[in-house]
Amino acid sequence: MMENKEKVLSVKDLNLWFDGDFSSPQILNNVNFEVYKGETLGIAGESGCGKSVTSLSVLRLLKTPPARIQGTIEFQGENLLELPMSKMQKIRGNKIAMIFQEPMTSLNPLFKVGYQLEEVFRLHQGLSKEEAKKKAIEMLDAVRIPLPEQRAKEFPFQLSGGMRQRVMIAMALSCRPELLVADEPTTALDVTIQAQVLDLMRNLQKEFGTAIMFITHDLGVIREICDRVVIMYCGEIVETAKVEELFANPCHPYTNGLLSTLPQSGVKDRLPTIPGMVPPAGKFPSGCVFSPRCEHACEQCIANKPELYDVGNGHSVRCFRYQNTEVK
Amino acid sequence: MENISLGKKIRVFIKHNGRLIVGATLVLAMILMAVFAPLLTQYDPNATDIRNRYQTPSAEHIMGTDGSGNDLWAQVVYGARASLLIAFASQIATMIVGAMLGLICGFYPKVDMVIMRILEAINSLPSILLIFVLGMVFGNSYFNLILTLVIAGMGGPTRYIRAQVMSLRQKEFVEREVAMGASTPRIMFMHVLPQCSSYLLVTLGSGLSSKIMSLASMSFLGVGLPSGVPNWGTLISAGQVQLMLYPYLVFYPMIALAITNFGFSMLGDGLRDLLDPKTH
Amino acid sequence: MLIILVLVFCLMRMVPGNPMYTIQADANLTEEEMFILQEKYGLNGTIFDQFWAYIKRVAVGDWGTSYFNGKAVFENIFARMEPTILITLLSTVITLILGVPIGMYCATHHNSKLDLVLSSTSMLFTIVPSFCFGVGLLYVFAFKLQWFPLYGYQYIEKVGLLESLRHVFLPSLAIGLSGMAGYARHTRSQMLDVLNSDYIRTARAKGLADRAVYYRHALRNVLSYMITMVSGTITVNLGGATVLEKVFNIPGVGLLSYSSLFGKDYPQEQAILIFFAAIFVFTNIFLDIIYKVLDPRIELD
Repeated sequence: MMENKEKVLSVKDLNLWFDGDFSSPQILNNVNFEVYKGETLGIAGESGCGKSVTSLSVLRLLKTPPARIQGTIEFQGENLLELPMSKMQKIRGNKIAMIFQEPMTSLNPLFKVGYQLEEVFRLHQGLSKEEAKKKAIEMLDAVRIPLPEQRAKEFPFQLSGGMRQRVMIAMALSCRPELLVADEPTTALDVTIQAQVLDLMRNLQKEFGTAIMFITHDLGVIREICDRVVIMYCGEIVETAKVEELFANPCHPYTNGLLSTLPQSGVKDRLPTIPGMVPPAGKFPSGCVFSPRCEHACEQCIANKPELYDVGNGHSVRCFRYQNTEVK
Repeated sequence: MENISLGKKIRVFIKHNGRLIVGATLVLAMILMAVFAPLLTQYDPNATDIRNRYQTPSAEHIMGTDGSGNDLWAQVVYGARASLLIAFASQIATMIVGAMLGLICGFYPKVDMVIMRILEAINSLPSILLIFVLGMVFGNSYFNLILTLVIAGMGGPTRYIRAQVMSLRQKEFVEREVAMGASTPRIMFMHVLPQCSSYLLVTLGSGLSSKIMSLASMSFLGVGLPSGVPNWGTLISAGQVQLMLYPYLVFYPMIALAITNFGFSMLGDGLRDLLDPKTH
Repeated sequence: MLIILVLVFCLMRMVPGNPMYTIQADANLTEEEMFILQEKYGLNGTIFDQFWAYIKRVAVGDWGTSYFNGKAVFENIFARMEPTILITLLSTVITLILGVPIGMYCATHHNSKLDLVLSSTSMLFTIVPSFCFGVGLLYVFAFKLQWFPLYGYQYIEKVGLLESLRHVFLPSLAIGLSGMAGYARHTRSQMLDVLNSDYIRTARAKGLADRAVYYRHALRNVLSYMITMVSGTITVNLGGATVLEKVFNIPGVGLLSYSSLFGKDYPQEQAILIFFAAIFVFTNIFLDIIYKVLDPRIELD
C-alpha cells in the first residue's frame, strides 16, 4: 500500500496569488498532495486550473513578485519554499528535474544539444568536459536517440519536436533525480510521437526509479501512465484517487464531466461537453468552485465551500454529496 | 473588482503613464511658447542693438544677448516656432508618404522592387550626410526643408507598413474582401491602414524628436532654413564661435532643444506603453 | 557548398546597397547639377550622355578630379579619411562597451532603483544631437580642463596612435554617448524578452546559477540580436563624425564633404557619397559573417 512507501514530496496548504494593480487574484487555494517514491502522480484539469503554476512553484521557477506563495513544499525533509536560492539551484536539475510543454522553444537555440546536456553533468557532478561529453552521449542513447554522437554536435533547430523532447527528458534524467516534474510533456507532440515519449518515460521510470509528477489535461494520458491522480479545478483539488479507482468510480461531478468527454471506441455520438466555461482568475466562485457549472448544485454549494471528504480507498472528493459517506 | 475607487484608478493610471503625462505637458508647454512667443518677450529676435552686444544674463535680458545685441531669450522663444513647425509638418508628411509608399509597395510587387532599391540606397548613406546634401541641393526654403526631411525619414514607416500589408494580405478577412471583389484601394484604406494606425501613433514621438534633431544639425551646418529665421541649431552654431568667452550663448538653445526632445521622447514612450499591450 | 551559400548570401546582401545604385541616385542629383555646370563651362551633350560618360569613366576606374585642387577625388578622400574612420570606430566601440553592459545590468536588475537611474540617465543622452555634446565636451574638457586638444588632428604617422586618439576622443565620446542609450535600451528589452523565454526557464530548471544563466545562455542570444543593429550604428556614427569634424575642426572626410558641397565640387562630393556607401556595404558583409558565427541557424533559414 501507499502508506508504506516513502514520501518524496509533500505539498501542504499551498496558496498562491498574483499581485496586480487592482486586485490580487488567488490562483491556488490550499493545495495538498504527496508524491511517493517511484510512483507517477497525475495532475489533471482544464487550462487555467493552476496545474502548471503548481508544478512551477515546486521548482520555484515563478517570478516573485508578481507571484506570492504561502504554504510548504517539503522535499527530503526541507521546505523548498524557504531554502536560499543557492541551495535551491543545487536541487534543481539534480534531485528535482523538470520537462516542459514546449520542446520547440525549451532548448537554447544557439548552443549545441550536447553542450546543453554536458552542462548538467559539469554542474551537479563536477565532471570534466570529456567525461561530461561521454555521459551526455550515453544519456542521448538512453532516451533512444539514434546516432547520439552525431546528434550531440547538432543544434536544436536541426532536431524534430519529438527528438527535442527526448533531449529534454535526457537532460532531466541526467542526474537520476528523485522527482521528475513533467508539465504537459506530450501536449505539443503528434499522437504517435506522444505514445513513444510516454513509453520512454515509463521505461526510464522503471530503470531509474524516479517519481514523476505528470501534469496534463488529457485523462487518456493519465490512464496510460499514472498510478494516482489529482483533479484540479479553479486552483483547488476537487478529487484525488488511484487511477483505477477514479476511472471506475468517479465521484466529483467535474471528474464525471471530464471522463464523459473522453472519446470511447465504438460510440459514434457527438462527444459531450461540460456546459459553461472556466471562470477567469480572480472570479472564482466563493462556494464550491464548480457550483455554477454543476447539475447537482444546491444552495449549500453556492454558499459554502466543501471540504475534501474521504470516501475510502485513498479516494477523496470535494463535494457535499459525499459529506456523510462512511469510510469503509 | 467593481468597487475600486476612481482615485485609485487615477493613481494607477499615473503610475503607469507618468511618461505620457510628463511628455504631453512639456510638448504642450513648448507649443504654447511657440504660439505666444510675442507675449513672452518684448524684443524682436532679429533686431540688432550693437550697444548691448554680449550682455551676460541679467534682469533685462534673462539669457543675455549675442554678438549683434539680439536678446537670446527672444531668439530661443521664436526659435521654437520654426523648430516645432518644421518638425510637425515634416513628421506628418513623412508618415503620410511612408504610409502611401508602404501600401503601394505591399500591393504592387513591381513598384515595390523599384522603391525598395531606392530606399536601400538611401539607407546606405548616413542620414545626416544625406540630409545635408539634399538640403544643399534643394536650397533653403521651408518646403524644400520638409521635402528633405521626408526623403531621409520615409524609409522606416514605408518598410513597416509594407511588412504589415504583406502579412495582412495573408489574413482571412482580407482574402474574404478580395473574394468579394473589393478593389485594391478599398482594401488598402478600409482594412490595412487602420491596422497600422497604432504604429504610426507610437512612432510619432520618436519621429518628431528625430526631426528636431535633424533640423538642428542641419541649421548647425548652415543649410535648411532660410537665413534670418531664428532657430536653435543656428544659434548653437553662431554661439560656438564665441564659446570660450560666452558659453551661455550655446547653453540656452541647447536646453530648449533638450527639453523639447525630452518631451517628445517621453510622449512617444508613454504612447507606446499605453498602446502596446506587450509592455504591460 | 557552404562557401557557395555564404557567397550567394553576401551577394544578395550586396545587391541592394550596391554602389551602382548609389551612383544612379547621385547621378539623378547630378543631372541638374551637371546641367548647370554644362552651361557654366559650355559643355555639350544631353544629361543622359553626361551620365553615360560618367559611368564609362567610372567603369575604367576614373572617378573624376576635384574641381578644387585638381587631384583625383579618391586621392583626396584617402588623404583625409584617417580621422573620420578613427572617430567612427572609436565611437562605435564606446557605444558598444557602454550600452550593452548597462542594458544587461538594467535587465538583470529589472525595476531596481539603479535600473531606473541608468535607464533615465542614458535617455538624457538621446535628447540632444551629438554635436551639442561635442560642443559641451569641447568647452569642459578641452577648454576649461584642457585635458584634450581644442581643435584639429595629428596623423598617426607623425605623432603615434595614442596622440591621434587624444585628438579624436572627445568627438568620439560625443557620438558614442548619443548611441549608447539606444543600445542600453535595446539590450535591456531584448534581455528581458530572452529572460522570459522557455529555454531560460530550462536553464534555470537545470540548476544553473543566475550568473551562468545571464552571461552564458542569455547574453549570446541578446548579442546575436544586437549585431544586426551595429551596421546602422556605424552608419549613424559615420554621419555623426562628419558633423563633429565641423565642431572640432578636424580635417576629415566630413569637412571635405562640407567644403566641397559649399564649393560646388560635385565630382568630389559624389565620390564621398560612394565612399560612404562602400563602407556601408563592407560593414554589412563583415557583420553578416559575425552574425553567422554567433547564430548557427542563419545558414539554413
